[in-house]
Amino acid sequence: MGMPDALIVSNLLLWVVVIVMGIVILALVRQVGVLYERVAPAGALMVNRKLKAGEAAPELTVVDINGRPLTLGGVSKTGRSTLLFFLSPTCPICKTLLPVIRSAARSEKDWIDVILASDGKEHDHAAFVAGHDLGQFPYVSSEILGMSYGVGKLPYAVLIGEQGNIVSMGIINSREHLESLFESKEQGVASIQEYLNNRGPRSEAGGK
Amino acid sequence: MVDPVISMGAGLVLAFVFAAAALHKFRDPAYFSATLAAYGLLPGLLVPVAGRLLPALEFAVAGTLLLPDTRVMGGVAAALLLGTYTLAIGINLARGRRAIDCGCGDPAQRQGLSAWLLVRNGALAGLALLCAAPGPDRATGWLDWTVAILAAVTVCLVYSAGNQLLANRELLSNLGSSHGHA
Repeated sequence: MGMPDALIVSNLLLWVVVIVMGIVILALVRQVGVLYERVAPAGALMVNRKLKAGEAAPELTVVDINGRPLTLGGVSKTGRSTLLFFLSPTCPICKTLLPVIRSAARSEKDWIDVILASDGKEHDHAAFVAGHDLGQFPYVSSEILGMSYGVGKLPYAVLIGEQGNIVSMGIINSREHLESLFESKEQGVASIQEYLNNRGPRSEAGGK
Repeated sequence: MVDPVISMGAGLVLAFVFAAAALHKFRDPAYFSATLAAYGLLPGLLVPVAGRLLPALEFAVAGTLLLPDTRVMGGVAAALLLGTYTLAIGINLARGRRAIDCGCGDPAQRQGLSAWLLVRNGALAGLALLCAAPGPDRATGWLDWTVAILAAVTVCLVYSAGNQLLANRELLSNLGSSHGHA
């Protein structure tokens, strides 16, 4: 076996080794991504930097795209809760969640009113509402609304209780996230952290 | 003057990149059309058309890149497509819109727009130029093809890892500033 042959074999072996290491690196980077997803707070876990769950929701009067005034926050005259869902005509995930919102509005219609909040003067909101069959919901286009509620990423939802308090809120990427907001109303806790804290060590005297 | 091994390898890498991207777009045409609409560059009527046309175009380019006779043409087509996409991303970045999905490939890897995408696309365009570049007139044998394939597999793995790293930046930012910086 001459030098050139040995070099060729070595070279090919090195390629194989490099490829195997490339696979290992790819697998590692994927695992890191999955880890970030699992650790990320979402749904009722999301921490809003402007408002806290349990606080009173900012009281605002806004006008929907049909010109009707709407009051948000404050004690509800009808004893119903409000789901304030923030979306945008250019948010593809928001669009995939529209059927989820519709079915949630139907199944929880005994105690919840759904209000859609959007912003961006440059968007054609009327076309968006018509194109996606959202006429049944009040639709408000207001930048102040998003800013008052400290909304950063979309889609975002805030559940306001009948006393005008923020029950829970968070980024919504799936049906489960939306349902976690309703769950927290039923459980009477604002988030999973609070739920776990309440259960606490049983030896704690006077613990809940 | 680019050695045929390099231009063959570059062609294989681009074929993989385009075929994978086209497959993702093809699998969920509704989501891709919504992403295109969010870019705000095409008139509304053209969006569904482009939504079907672009994946088909990408598949075609991937095909031409695989065959040695059509590789130069494929490289030019790939460079043009990449240039168009990069322009679209650049325009939206200039508009300050980072939250829209880039629509480059996997919808599950929801990637917003960032300057890194421009860098990545620039590198891909560079590969396209490499595979269209003329080479010395030398005979190519089994070893050349073997090395080209092995090198292409390696670059594709690095490319996939790079894409995942970009997606990870977004996921990390979701954790909030208390968890370190991107």
